[in-house]
Amino acid sequence: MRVTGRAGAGMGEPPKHHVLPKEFREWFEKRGFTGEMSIDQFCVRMERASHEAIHGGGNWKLGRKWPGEWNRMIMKALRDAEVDAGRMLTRNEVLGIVAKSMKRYDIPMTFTPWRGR
Amino acid sequence: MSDGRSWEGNWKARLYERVRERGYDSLTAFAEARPAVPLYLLAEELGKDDLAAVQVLSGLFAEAERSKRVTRLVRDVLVRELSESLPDGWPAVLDDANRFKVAKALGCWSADTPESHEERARQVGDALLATPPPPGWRPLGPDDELLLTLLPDEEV
Repeated sequence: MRVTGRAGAGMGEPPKHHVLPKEFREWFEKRGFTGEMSIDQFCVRMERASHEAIHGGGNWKLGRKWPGEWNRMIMKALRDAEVDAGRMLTRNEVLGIVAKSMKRYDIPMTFTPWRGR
Repeated sequence: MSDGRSWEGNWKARLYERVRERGYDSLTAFAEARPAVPLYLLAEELGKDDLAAVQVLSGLFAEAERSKRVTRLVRDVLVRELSESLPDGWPAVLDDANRFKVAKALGCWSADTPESHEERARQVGDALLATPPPPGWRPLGPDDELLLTLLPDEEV
């Protein structure tokens, strides 16, 4: 996973989004996502249509029964894995699960920090 | 896998076009012809740069709902997940590293399971951890004996 450093970014760049849900910031902090490794470092740029699709909205109508919305899915995967592991997950283990999920959703594997370019 | 191209345009139409191009009339038929193949490989085969595993999954669930075979699909998704995460089958020893591998597989599977089957999926995971299958256990499809015992076909 690369961290992008595009200079002169601004107009026309797809907006940034947190991959690790902000609502669970504290949960992630307890597992090592603090300071320079806070969840704010793990954002990606995504076009609006893609971003909407991943959150279950936009034009795509899913089978009623499928819970694919990203935030719900990733927290479920992480928390259930933690219960089954019988101990708190390490930061790397969290990132491993997140990376696997990003590939399955075809989310660009290039992290960029929330602040700055 | 590309940088987000899977979500461009009418991906559903694209998905089904690719399925038909390969001679199948449903995603389910395509997937059934590739038992125990991980989801990401199914997606790669259908569209290396422009289809995502999660799209294949959503299509499979939509079809399963219509044909009332969701439970079978839930077993099938576990089989594919285990195939991806535990290619050598169930670990002989559940040390910390192996325990995490199993936990990761079960967690990802659980996250892919519809709400209607959440509780039962949890029970399957608990059962597998409480009474581990024989070392090397690798289910080859949704009709695996052990899986059928743990998650029989009774539509919710």
